[in-house]
Amino acid sequence: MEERRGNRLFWGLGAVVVVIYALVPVAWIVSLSLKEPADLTDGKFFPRSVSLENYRSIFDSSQFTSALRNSIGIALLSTLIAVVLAMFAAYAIVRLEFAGKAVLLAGALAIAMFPPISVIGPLFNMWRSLHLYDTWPGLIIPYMTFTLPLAIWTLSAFFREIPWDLDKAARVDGATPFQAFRKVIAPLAAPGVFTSAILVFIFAWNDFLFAITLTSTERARTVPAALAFFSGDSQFEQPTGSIAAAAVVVTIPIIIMVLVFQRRIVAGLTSGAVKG
Amino acid sequence: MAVIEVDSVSKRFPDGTVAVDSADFTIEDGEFFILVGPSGCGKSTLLNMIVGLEDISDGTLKIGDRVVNDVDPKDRNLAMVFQNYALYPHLTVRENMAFPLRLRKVPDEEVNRRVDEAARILELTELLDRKPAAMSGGQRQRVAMGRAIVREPDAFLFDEPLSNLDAKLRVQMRTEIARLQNRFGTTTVYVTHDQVEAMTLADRVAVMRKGVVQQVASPKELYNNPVNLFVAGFIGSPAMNMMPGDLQGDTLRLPMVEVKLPEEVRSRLGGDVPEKVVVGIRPEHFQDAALLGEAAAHGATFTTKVDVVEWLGSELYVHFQVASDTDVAELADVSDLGTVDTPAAGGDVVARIDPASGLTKGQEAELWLDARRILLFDPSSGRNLLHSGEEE
Repeated sequence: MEERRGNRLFWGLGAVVVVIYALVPVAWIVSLSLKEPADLTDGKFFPRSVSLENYRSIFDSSQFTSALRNSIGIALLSTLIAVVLAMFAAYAIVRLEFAGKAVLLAGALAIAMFPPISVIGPLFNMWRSLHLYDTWPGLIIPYMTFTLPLAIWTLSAFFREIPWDLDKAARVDGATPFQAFRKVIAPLAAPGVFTSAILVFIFAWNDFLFAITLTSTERARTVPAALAFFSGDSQFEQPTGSIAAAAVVVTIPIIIMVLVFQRRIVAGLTSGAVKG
Repeated sequence: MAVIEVDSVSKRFPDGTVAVDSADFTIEDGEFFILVGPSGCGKSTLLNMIVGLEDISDGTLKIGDRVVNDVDPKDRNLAMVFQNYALYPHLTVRENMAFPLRLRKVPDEEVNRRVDEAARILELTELLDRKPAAMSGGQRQRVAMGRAIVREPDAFLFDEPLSNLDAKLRVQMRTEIARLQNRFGTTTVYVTHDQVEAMTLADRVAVMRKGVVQQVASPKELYNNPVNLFVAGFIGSPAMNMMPGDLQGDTLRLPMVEVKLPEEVRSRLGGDVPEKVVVGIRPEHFQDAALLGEAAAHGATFTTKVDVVEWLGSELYVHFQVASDTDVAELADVSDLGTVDTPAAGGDVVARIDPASGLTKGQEAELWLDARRILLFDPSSGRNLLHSGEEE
């Protein structure tokens, strides 16, 4: 009894420490975003008076709203295209016998391990001559490329768990190969689809490197890049409050997505491992 | 309803292996036809070619009047029940059964009518809203059959449908399949490795070995008049006893006794008969000599030491050893029979005798064998030397 209570205390305290450690910076940002401009540097954790002034100001500037629009659009499109392509690719890899299958999978993994920073220079030049610089596709293409391998690997793990007899049964039941895929295989791989979708979305949403390098105007600049261009009201003022408010705003979609899909993701991340 | 014509159909895989070597038979309309053989004999491949999941390398496949070699499986109007049932786990029983109809854009009312009807026949009505995961093996099996029935297909195809069930359920479902097939009168092709299933269910059976169809015949014909050593050994449980024998004129020298072949047997022997033969004797063609009386004239009596006795109430199996200088396995190719009941391994012979006999373990017993029912095989080709061309 005594030991069990001690045990629980230990784990409870440990959890609290970890949560505080992880959340203090977030709380700090939230606190900053709620402070009045004059109080920003007072060093206090709790704002003296709560004001939504910072939020109002970022939503007033087209700099932030267009960046938000770009972020949402680019992240969603990248996710959609990457997941759809990955589904087809993974399905083919699992179901078809073709020469160079192992090479393809290894190649995909190699791309995932490739440091983006090493391609960014040439990419910048290429994008400029291809007129992709500062456009949505200009960001969607690299996001897709860098997330596809992970999505393919995740999804092929899921497809591998689906008995092939189900495709066959659907085919005999009168389905075309595509119908069999859409009505039987894809629904069964749904947890895998959600898992890879959220991974792709987070990558695209959080990316700073490509966004800062491959954009120059509000046409395609996403929030992480736009934050770097925030300026104060005057040249003597730091835009700390606005940056904090914007940081809080961009975190919200991710939190919502993770909460909504949390159960599916957990099911997805584990169900591939053990045959249920 | 359809006749399925398999005309020299072959399957060669890209790596060169021949899974099915010019299979040639016709499955009649409404017939219950079974493909049986040890695992790896090509029976499932043949079934998959009929349903269209495997391409046909050579030959012609006709369903009804239509050559279907290049017809997509979805357009062949065949229904298949898979070994693992292949139910769609994300759909309820009702949706599973309705799935093929929905793909055909059958109107809702008709779908519901057919699904309800099938559910009633298969006693699934209460389970219609369940998901497959929440059902037992036997229930899933019935759903898989329901999905086949609602289609009203030209033929049912079964791929080892009972092998995932436990023994008791298997017998029960076997009866159920037989009853359904009777009721609908639909042409049925059924694949199994279990010769008991084949014998009990089929109108006709095709026995396959290493991609080659050995014999296509009724179960009775297969049992009594097997075309070769393989069919003889594969069909029947316990398996046929095999032993080496020397044939000189009308005298057959067996390891335990010399038998004079009756005229009716000799007349069926062809001209060129090898001296060394493999002799096949079914367990029930032995008898306790003490129980015989008059019939003894048709056979030979010998004395042997009873090794093991298995008393099953209605049956009595007596095992004894025969000593011979040659092993059957050295004479003839009986290798893949091992996957079923091992035939007379190491000179062990099984006799099925009248349970009224008082034979016990370790006893010196006088046994009799029926010379009229002896089968003789050519060791090199495995051919049944007594096989009569026409069916009985």
